[in-house]
Amino acid sequence: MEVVLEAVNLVKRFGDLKVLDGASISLRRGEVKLLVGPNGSGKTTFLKCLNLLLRPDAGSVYLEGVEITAPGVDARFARQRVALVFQEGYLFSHMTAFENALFGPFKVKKLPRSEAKGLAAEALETVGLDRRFWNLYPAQLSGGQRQRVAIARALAMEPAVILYDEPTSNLDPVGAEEVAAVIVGLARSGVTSLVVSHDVSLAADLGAEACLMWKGRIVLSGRLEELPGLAETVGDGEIALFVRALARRLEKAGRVVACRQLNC
Amino acid sequence: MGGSPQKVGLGLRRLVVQELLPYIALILAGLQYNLIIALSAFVAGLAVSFALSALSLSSPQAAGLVAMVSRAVRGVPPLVLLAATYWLLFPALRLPPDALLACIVAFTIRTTAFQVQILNAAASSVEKGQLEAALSLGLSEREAVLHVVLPQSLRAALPALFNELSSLLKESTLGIALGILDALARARYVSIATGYSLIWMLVAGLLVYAVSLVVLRFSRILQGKLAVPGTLGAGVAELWR
Amino acid sequence: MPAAELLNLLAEGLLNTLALVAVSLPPAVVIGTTLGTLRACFHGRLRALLDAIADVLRGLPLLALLYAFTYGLPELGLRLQPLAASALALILCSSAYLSEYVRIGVLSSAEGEILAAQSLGASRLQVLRYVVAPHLLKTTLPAIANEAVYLLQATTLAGLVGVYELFSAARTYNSKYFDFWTPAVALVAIYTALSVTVEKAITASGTLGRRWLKLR
Repeated sequence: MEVVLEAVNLVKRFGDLKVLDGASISLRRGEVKLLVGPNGSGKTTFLKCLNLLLRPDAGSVYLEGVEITAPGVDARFARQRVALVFQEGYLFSHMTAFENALFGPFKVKKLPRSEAKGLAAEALETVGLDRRFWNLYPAQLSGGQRQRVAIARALAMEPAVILYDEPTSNLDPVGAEEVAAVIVGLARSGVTSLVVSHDVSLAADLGAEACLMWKGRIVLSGRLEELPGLAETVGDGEIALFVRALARRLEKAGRVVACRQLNC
Repeated sequence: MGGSPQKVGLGLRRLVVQELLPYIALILAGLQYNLIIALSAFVAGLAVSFALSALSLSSPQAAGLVAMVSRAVRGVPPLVLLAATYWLLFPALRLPPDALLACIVAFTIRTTAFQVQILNAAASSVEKGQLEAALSLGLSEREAVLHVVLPQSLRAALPALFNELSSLLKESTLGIALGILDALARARYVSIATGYSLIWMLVAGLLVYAVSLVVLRFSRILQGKLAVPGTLGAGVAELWR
Repeated sequence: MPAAELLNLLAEGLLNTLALVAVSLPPAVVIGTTLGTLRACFHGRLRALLDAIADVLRGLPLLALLYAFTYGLPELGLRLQPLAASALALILCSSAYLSEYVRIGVLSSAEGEILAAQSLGASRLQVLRYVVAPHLLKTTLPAIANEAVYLLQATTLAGLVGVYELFSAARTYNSKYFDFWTPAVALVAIYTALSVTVEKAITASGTLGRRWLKLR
């Protein structure tokens, strides 16, 4: 299976602060990965570098074989193929749900209107938003509905990869459940996805390979159950602490982990 | 014009030293009036608006009155306020017709009206939760305002206050209407004397600008020193790349 | 009769004051909004240049600009009427301030949506047209109203460089009848009335503009 998205040793600084310090990842077509890590470890910055919202200071990103970080490559090309769903959603507040989904194919890709409308409708149906809500404005929708429209907006672009930045963190339990169901559904149907999330039940349902980001680098990766064991090998007390906390929460969510053998 | 390059060079230096330098020194000296007016008005205004702001915080009726009066004062063009102070207020109070004092008084009145607005906005920008938290710890309303709200609101008000100081510096040039020989007034006379207007106006203007840049620098340093560690935002989104 | 003469003088002054505002405000809004949006959207040397220009224009005292244009431009061969010269100075100064308000407004109000639009691959122009413009109307309107009132007050400075506006009228009356109280009270009343009218007019046109945009 070919590699769809690959990042090699990304480095990014904001002033004196080095947020990314040699972060790498690779995603094959249809693969789903989970990115975990404490706040401030650089996860959001990493995602933004993957679709070129931010340009890394060093390192390269390859999209479907093409190096998009090379000078002269139009960033818009990358962004149309790599979709990013934000934690806050950022729906266009002056457009209806349908118009939000329509924006990408119609205005950015400049597809003919009927084709664009078809894509928008299909996307909204995939995320399970009832037709009744299609002509409402974001302010009139619930948090869960808004985030689903945000996902639909990304889907309508028919991207190669979808990146999710803490998609359920701002939602109440009902909304979080709705959105998690959509993301898991998309992942199971073969959409290449990279999900950054603290949401333990989402993580558990995804059943994906998990990568641990720490101080700007990906230091561990493996199945969720294997993480605690791997953390011990890394040695750094803080990382082990974080992973054990994660493992304990996963255990409470119903996923038994090797935690028991490690005296968490 | 004949003569060796050396003679021409000497001529140029003589031009600069004997002719231009005295004028520049004259204009520079005029800056003192801009500074005196701006700084005095700023400090006096700060004292008064502090009191007025505290008053507004404690009593809603007072707050309404203060807001109304300051709105009215802000609506008066500064030049009119200046003239009214000098031609109406001073005679009414039997004060001597001192142009500099009139300027300071007029601008104090004007800046107070603006500063009250700034301080009140800053006070309300401090999260209500801060006050509630302080009160639930057992502090009296007065203590809570003094130890929790006021320090935070001052910090929030700093940028706007320094902005006001810059405004004052620029408006101090209006003193020319009362005969005050500030930097701009002197530049005006120099331009009449030399016959060149554009350059001297720009010189005076840029001098005032330079002073306000110093104020801005000072403001940034002060903000940096007084900021709570961790609050001066880390990555601002790099848009448009 | 002093009262009649006062009214005459004030009428003439009012005319010039209003003329100055009418001639200066619209260009200042157009230039300021454009400049502010450009400054919010671009990075690099162009942006640095625009920033520098705006900063200097904001930092120079308005009176210096007025003197420079009234007495300085003829040196460059450009002889303008006092009204035109003052209008030019006011336009430049107001544009600089407005560009700053617009710049801050654009960045702060729609930052997330700008990010989302870019993330979809929209070009700068598309982001401007579909995300920024609709928000601009909402956020910059109070700033424009504020600046308009400031412009109104700044017309008094034009009185120092040859424009016969309201304040000049007051001074003429004072020098003839040695009475500054009457014209001063009249002036305060007029300026207050004008400020309120200007503010209301701008907010009203904003509401109309928003309604017109939604109809599209």
